[in-house]
Amino acid sequence: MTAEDRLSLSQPLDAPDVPIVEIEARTRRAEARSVMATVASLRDHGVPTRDIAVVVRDLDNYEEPLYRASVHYGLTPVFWVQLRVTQTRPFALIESVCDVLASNNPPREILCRPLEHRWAPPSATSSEWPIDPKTVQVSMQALPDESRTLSEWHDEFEGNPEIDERFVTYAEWLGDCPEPAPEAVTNVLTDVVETYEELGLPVTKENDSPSLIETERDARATVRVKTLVQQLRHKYADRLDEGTLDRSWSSVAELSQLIATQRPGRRDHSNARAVDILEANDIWLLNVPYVLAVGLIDGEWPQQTESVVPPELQEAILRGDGSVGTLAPRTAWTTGRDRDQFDDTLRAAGNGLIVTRHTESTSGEERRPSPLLEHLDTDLVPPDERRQLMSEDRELPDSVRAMLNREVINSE
Amino acid sequence: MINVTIREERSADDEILHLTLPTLADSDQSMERTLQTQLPRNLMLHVGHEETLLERVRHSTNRTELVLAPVELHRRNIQRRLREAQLPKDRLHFADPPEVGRKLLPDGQQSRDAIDRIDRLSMIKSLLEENNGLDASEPTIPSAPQEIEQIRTVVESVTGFHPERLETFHETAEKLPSPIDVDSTEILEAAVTVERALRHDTEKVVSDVEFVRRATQNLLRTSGTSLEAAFPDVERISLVGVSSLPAAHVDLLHAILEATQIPVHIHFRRGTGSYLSRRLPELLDVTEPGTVVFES
Repeated sequence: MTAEDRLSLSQPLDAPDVPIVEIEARTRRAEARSVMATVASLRDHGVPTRDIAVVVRDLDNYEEPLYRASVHYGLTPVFWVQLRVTQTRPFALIESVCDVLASNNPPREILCRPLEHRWAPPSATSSEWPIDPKTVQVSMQALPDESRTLSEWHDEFEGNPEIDERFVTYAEWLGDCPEPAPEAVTNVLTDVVETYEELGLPVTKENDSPSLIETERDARATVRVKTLVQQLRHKYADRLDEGTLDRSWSSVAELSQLIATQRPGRRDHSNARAVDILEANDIWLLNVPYVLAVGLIDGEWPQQTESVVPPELQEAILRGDGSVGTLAPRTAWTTGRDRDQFDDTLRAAGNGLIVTRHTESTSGEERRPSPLLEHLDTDLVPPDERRQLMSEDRELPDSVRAMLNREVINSE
Repeated sequence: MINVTIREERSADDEILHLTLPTLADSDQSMERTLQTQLPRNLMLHVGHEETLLERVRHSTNRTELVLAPVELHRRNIQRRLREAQLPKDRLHFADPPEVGRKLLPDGQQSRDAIDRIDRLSMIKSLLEENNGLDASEPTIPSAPQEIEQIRTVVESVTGFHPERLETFHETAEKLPSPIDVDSTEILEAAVTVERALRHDTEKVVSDVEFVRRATQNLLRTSGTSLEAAFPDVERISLVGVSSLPAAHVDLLHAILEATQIPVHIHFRRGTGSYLSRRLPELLDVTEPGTVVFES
């Protein structure tokens, strides 16, 4: 190992064989708009959707602006992103059921939340269940704004004529729920999620746009939550044995939250008509004619992660002099992983690469270009062409249009 | 871009050496030659040039290549490329290192469960409460279970808890200027203490990585027959799309190369590949890969 070997972790990456166009926007939101305007214009020129990929280092910052921009341009995005199951309806449903059962005296909001999340009794039929949101709201408003025990609520539902009678069925079901032993918890929650799959999911589908994005997300989440309930059974039983959790519905809710945030699953199929939006670690080996690499900002891509190991020790292990060479170096201590991913992005582009960035943070601070761009020969889109791209009669910048011609020349 | 593929003429003992690097600079040429003489027979390194993976499928016989792809989505990308190239999909068998590790264990151990990160965090929390050899009052040792687990995984990835590597880690830490030397030693000790305590406190296997280590030992113990038994049709093994090489993965490959005749290919990526391929010969320079300092 020589000093030169260590330096190879910071050498410039090779330029790709395709032209690179750079689009600069003022804000992240404007950047996302110019990305989707470019995608829409490429499609105007007859480029099939499957020939375009949008690549982001980390979708956390970009999912929302790219989604909004897609909607603005009438595009359907598919985010190849980890499903945040805790933000889905089936998860909210089982969590809200646990919350009601965990409380001795739930207030009306906590009590009614499972109904808002489309709870239905296990034997229900679709004509009556789930209760539509408006009925849930009207009935809830007719309830006293105070905390009561479940049996008191049951009596209230029966005696109050303004309450939809299906609330009584719900209160009876709550009353019949067993003590939270592991087996019983699994049975209750499995019933809840399976009934949701049968009766709640079709409601999502009914309200969804033709692309069925929400339905797909909801269906995937339902599958995930079913798996989660199975995992929950073992973990909950283990925790009870160890004495690290007490036997309660609130422990069940807490543990579900923990399991759900550990390793979210990914979307597992793509919609052929939708624009693929991927994280950079996932583009490896793909070959797509037009690649848009988004967010080439200093400090965002590449980004160095914090480590518990002191930098001096990291450096000694990375250098690996003498016997230290047997220690396995972590490239996460450098920007190595991000370099790999950017290089994968460069190689994936078959016809042309478009890199984008923004120049101001939301608080107005300057955002500088990524050092990854330093050694690349990019063609910056002039301001007037960018305005043209963003205007009503959008036009591709000349340099991007040249990529299309290149395709024609190449195929001749 | 200039592509270089150097194939040594096959020598009498049928040695295969094949190294591909993305660029040819004058200084790199001698490096490549040196590296090749240092690499074990049957080990092939690729930096970039992912197409060679597809090429192997194109020219494959009816036996299969076992592809270790740590990033799950990479498997789908490979399958997509195979589909686009109209190549058969059944020539590649995908798995991640712990899956392979589990299959290489003796029969009685294959069905054992490993605890996961959530379990470990809750066990570490109890350890902290009992102050069981884990002294969070030391300034470098964090008091949050997540950070302690992070220390454990870093030391695991760097050393695999292999006795020689732990010793080297210790020496390296001690040579650093004060007070970093003390901080670094404490980190090492905390990681080993936690791993030992976890092993003591659970009947189950302490992590997925442990499957890989045990498989490594078992491969050497059985002189490779555990691999032939688990994957009888495999003619090649590859590790693809990696940005780093944890000690446990290096040791597994090391054992495969030592105990079997099966060729191993590592596909590095271009940002880290030149560096990692240069580090590889030394990473293989340990005795009894897969061994740990703990009593089993």
